[in-house]
Amino acid sequence: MARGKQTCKILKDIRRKIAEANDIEFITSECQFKGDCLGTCPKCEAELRYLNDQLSLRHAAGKAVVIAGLSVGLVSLGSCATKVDNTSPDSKVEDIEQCDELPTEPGEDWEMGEVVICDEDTANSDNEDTILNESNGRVTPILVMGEDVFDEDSRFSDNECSAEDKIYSMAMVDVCPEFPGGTQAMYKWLKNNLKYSQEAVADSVEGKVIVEFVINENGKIENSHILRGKHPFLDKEAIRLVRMMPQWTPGEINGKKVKVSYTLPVTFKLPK
Amino acid sequence: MESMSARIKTIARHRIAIDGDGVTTLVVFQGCPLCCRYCINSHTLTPEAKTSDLTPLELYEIVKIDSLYFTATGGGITFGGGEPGLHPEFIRQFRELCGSEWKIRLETSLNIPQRNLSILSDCTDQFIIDIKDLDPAIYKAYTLTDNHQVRDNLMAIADAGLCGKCVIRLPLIPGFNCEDNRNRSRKWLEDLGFVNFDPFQYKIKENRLWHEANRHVKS
Repeated sequence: MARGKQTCKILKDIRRKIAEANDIEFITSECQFKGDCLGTCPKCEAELRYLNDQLSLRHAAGKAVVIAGLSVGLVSLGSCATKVDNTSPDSKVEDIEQCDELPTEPGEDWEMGEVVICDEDTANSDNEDTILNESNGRVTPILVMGEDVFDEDSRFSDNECSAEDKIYSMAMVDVCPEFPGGTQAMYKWLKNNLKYSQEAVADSVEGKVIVEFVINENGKIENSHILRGKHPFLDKEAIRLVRMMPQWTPGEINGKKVKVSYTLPVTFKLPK
Repeated sequence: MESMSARIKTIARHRIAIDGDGVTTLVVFQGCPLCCRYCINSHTLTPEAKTSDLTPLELYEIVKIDSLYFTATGGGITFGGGEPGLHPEFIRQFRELCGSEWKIRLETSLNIPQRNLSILSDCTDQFIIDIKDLDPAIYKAYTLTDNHQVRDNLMAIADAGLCGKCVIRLPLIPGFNCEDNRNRSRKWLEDLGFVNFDPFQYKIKENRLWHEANRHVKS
């Protein structure tokens, strides 16, 4: 799994560059893991979350955030996708194992850092993270490989943080957090409470803002921040809306209430 | 916005310099209009394949974890398949969610309706087009499908001045074409204004479905 180790090193370099460019203290250590590397692991993911949190804090404090293009050229097309065919100097032999049939057992066949979506039977086998996501009335089993790979009992045994600190994605929980009355009620609530500032109306500002926030174990909103902003007026209003939301029903894993990250697109449109 | 879902086979993270510059996540759609003899993703052709239906927002929820890597390296999402060009509305809605900082690339055969191409041109940063071979007989033999739509779409791209947005993959297909065929394809494309080419050679990986369909065609 040498390619996994190489991927891990490249990703770590990118994280380090982002931290340096934004004056964020970034203490990392050489990976001592001797086994198969998938290119990322809970420790790597924790470093990424830390960076995201620090960048959000900087953004909220009105400081400049520099990310775009920091590592362009570090990873360019052609370095490992193909190999030169010795018999034809102008040709390359296709050597991209794009996506094989879903492996049912962990091993060398697993691609680095893969998130594979599969059917329920496969997802329910051992050594896999099985999630039943019942959003939109559909049951969507998702098998995650390459990140946060754990079995049912070890979901709270992450080395990096305790169960109380860990923030789960919607796809990882048994019961998704829910706005009072459900998703449709949430959109209705947003519509009723959304306020266009006079400046935004004057400037005819429209567009979509994406807000990310955490619903904690008590159903309260915390750590709300702009994932993708559109305009300062709209960003501010989207954050205001999210922070004044009523208490949610929290998400659960194995009957235990947990923190869950939620992504909400808010569309601002002026009446014609 | 009315949300719709697409059948997705695989999501592969941290593909470094494989599907375009930077760190990319490959999203593999289920289903393709072609049936290529050496298809490396033939499991995306069968309806019984293990998949999941995702909306653009659900996909965004899954892939956003690598946003920092995408933005820092000029990477993003590469839609492959199967044929991603069959899902223009899904990709358009996904673009609205992810914004312009992520690069969206399509690995496509371009054997898709022209109205799909029109939608995709507005929301895609780069088309990586595997033309197989532009000779209709070679194309038909290898894919069991006509390629007039591919030629029409290539001309539409050229007419729209979007050749610079494309990388044309020019394969040598063992048993189907040769260097002369490939040069003819390239000349036709260069005359249209395409400038980025990726010559390579297919690995032989037999697709059972091609052999079954081919037997049926011959009988």
